[in-house]
Amino acid sequence: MPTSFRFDTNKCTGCQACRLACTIENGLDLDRSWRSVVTFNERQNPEIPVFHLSLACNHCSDPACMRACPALAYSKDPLTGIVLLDSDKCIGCKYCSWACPYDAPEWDATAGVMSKCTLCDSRLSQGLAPACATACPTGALGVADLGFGAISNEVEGFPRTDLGPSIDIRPLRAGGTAPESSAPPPMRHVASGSRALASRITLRSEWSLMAFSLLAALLFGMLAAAVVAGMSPAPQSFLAVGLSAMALSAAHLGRKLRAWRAVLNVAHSWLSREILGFALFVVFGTTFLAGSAGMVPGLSAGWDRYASPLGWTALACGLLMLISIDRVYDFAIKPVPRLPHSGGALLTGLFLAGILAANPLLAGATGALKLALYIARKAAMSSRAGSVRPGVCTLRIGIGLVLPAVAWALAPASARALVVGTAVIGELLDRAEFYDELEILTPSRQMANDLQARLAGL
Amino acid sequence: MVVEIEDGRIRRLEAHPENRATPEGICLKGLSYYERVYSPDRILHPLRKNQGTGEFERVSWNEALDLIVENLERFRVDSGPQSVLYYAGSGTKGLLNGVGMDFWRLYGGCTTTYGDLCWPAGLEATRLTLGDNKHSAPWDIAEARLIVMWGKNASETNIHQMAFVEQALDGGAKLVVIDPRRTQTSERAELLIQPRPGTDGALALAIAGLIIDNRWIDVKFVSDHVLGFERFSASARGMTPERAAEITDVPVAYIHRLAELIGTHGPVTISPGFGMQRFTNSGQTMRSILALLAITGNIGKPGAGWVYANLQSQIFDEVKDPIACYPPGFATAQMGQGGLDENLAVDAEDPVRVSISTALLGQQMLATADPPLRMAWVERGNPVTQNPETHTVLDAFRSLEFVVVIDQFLTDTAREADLILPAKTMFEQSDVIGAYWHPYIQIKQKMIEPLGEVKPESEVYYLLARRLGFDEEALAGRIPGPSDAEIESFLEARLAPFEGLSLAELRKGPMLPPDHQEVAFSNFLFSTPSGKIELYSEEAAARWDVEPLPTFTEPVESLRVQESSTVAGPTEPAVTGAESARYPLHFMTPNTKNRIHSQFNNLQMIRQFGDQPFVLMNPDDAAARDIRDGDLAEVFNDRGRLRLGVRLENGLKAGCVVVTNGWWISEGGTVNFCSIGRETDMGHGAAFHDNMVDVRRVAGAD
Repeated sequence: MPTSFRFDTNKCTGCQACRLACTIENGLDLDRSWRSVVTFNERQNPEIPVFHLSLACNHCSDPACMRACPALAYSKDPLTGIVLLDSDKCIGCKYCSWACPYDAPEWDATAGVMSKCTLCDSRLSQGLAPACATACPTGALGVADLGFGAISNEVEGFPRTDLGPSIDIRPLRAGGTAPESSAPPPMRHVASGSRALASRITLRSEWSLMAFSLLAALLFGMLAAAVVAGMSPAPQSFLAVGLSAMALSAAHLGRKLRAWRAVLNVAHSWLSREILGFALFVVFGTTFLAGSAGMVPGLSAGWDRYASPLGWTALACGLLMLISIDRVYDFAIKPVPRLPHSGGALLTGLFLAGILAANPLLAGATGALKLALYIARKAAMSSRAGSVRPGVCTLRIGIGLVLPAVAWALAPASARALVVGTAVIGELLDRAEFYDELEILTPSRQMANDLQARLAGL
Repeated sequence: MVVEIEDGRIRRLEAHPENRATPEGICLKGLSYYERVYSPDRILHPLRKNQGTGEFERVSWNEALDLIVENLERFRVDSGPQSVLYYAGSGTKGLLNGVGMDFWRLYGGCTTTYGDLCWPAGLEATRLTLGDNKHSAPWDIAEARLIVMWGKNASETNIHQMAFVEQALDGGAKLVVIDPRRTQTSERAELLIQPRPGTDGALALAIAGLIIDNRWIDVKFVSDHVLGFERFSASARGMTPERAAEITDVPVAYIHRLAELIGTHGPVTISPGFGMQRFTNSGQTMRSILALLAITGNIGKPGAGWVYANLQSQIFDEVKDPIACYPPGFATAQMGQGGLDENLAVDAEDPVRVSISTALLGQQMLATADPPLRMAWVERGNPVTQNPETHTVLDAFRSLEFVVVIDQFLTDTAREADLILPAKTMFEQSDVIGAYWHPYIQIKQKMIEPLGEVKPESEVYYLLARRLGFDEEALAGRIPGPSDAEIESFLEARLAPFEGLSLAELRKGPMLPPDHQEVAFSNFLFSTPSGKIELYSEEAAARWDVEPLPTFTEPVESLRVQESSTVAGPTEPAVTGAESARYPLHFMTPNTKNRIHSQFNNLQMIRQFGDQPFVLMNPDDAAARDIRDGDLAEVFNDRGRLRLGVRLENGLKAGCVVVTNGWWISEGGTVNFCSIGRETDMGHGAAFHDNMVDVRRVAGAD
């Protein structure tokens, strides 16, 4: 019978015994745990209750972590429903921690892999409840056998998804009201703490991914220029940039020697597709460039027959790669969700193709689209105080779009280096902002959002 | 709890399934023993302070014991044994703790303390009113229809009680919390009453007046079991809701609602906290609140009662708290009526001089003469940060020639020692313990060998006694030898007088004491002088110089002390109104779930939940001082100051600031730098919650 967690928001006092019990049971470092307690309305806004959620893995029926994992390290037991992570297969890419909205996978810096709640499967098999549930002093956390009665978990702060999380959450009694107080609320009340919610994706942590994705777009532009416009970049430099980009993307892995596993989940993971697409793109692209330069002896005979299909195949792989790079960030919360990001990999690849192929139509169209998307996004963001940096915007537009356009218009031939250089710098800025602005959904963020909604409704 | 050992090491800690008071799990502090026992910071061998460098250096037990004996002999010869202060706090409990005082008697005597930091005003108020400090079994609160957590945040300080409170709430009961703070406990309440600190007595009296006016009293119960109802009625009605509203800041409408709930929604359980009885007026406060249960007949019945202290498991003490912590002469005074004052005088015959009030530790250590103190022995306590007036306590310890501290960690008190001895944990020696909330007698079994060179206190006393020349005969029955067998036979001898109690039985599980009352006072026997619940207590008046009825007086340090006409500072030098008026904020120093006072926060497992002290402020109080959330600020008064970050909390009553107690000096948050040594109006408790401060922003620290 599948087992699920059961949690009562009325009974939880936020004591953290569950977190410590998990640490002890699993022999984790003393300040690490697979379970966390998050608090709603920490600053006690009047008329809004304070409550906690104690969350670990919810062993979802459709686990996002398992879908996302490029290395097939996750598995779900068909009988118990328990989602397990095989640390011997994990490559330490941390992608599962973006995919899981419940913040369940935990980074183990020592081992360089992720680790997560096992629902204490070994205890369950002995008829014992998980350690966290056993330790809960108030009985707020427990386990329930799934299969009879529908579970419900529609409470504030619990990310609403269609992943089928196996946790039954009892909401607060009486519709979740705060106690009526004899003291008047403060005149200058403070809604939340002064510390902003810590960002989970930062430029500092993801710089290697930024470099990788920008280089991928640049390589796509180079190859497009070769295939479509007949330009002939040196195959050696194309390969060198491709390999460096590969190395960069592997640099952020906890287990670099297992990097090959990253392509195993092509069936479900956009990350696997991205890596596979990139590898094929670099192989076909290098072959195309080398063949075009007459550097591949076996291919020189009848090259004209191969050249075009090979070039277009390489470009198709490149397109798949760029689309996959963008889809990898499907989980992320973009600053303006309805709008494609101006720093998206596909758009950047096409823009750079236009620049490198000296195709004013493509460069102009994609550049104008980028400018429009950029301005629209920043305009939407500026309604949120403090999130737009005018200096960066000016640089991005001035150096990255206006300057190359002007240089191109005035001196199409002699200013090529300037056009390409400034356009690439502009794309670097945009891509950097992409990572800076991205966020992922966590229970803490859901709580902050839901609290905002409550406050707005008062 | 159940402790699982794997390869000689603690692997798991879980709740004992037969302890009905903890049906779910143990608390996070209990769990953190997984780290505490093995912490790299634990003191595992004797340490001697190098007088030159001030650093502690490892010494052998032989050197340590020789040093102690040399000093003990010198002080005994030069100044008499009473020049040695024996200070024992309330850490690690057990029957073996009694060995300490037996050693000091053998030595020839010592000076020691009376009173207690924790809860004696409430104990004395309860003793005077009900005769006994006991309450119904913890699970009985689930039967209540109204639960009043009065000044108590059980979610943090008594988490297992919340499991039963939740049962009651699921069954439709109501929860009311009375606390100047909005707490985790008040989140599930339907009403949060936020009085000005120190004025709960006025609130209770006004409620009593309304209950009487509305005839919500239990007439039969009152006439059968209550003494002094008529006089109490007249007095309580003097505290009109309007007057109480002015005193407490609780609007009249809320006083009415509270009165109606307590008067009509029985059975009512009131579970008062300890913090509320650490004011100069708090014994009377506790008597006033207790009176509400007496007049409504909410005593001796399921789901009803006063859940303050349950000493039913303390069967081994000849004299129970609070009397056990009073100076000698009290028991005599109990037996012979009258002549109280003479009997309270220190007994000159006793080699143990019980002359220092715990509440006034620093002041009285310094003032002790004939002989003055030259040495101190501290165990199971951390008086430097936990007793009032940290500055004075530090001065007092630094004025001594030789200080021995037994502890597991290098606390602020241990840092003042000349010699530190390593202390055991509860897993390293068997002992038998009672409790003060649940009713069980339990064994703490030795589970592991003491780590490093740790020796339990009883063994230290044994070795010292032998070095001082006492033979086995002198020690027999008082100071057991060091072997496990000797410890067990010592414990067996203490259990022997009680039928059915033995180590073998205790090993099977927790045991209820003989004559345990699951519903306290269900026989309606009250061991007061009158045999009734005493609202009117002549003993209170005679012993503590208070009104025989519970009355309200402003706390000594109150801003409104000048306006009040009934100020009665029993024995204390009152702070002048003008002086206290300079400090407009009530300084609340409650406990947190993360610690027991100054313990546990040095552990990684606990520190992850907060490793820096902060002061909680109401946003309006902060705005008036140009302070924003996250600013660095100074909490100060004439006595001292703390520097710490500010955290704004909307639910905190304006005029109150909060810093949890127990932070170490090195962490910057030791609240007792601002407190003063004063006794409570009864019970020799410490009134250190009578404490006014102000807060200012530390400039240039953003």
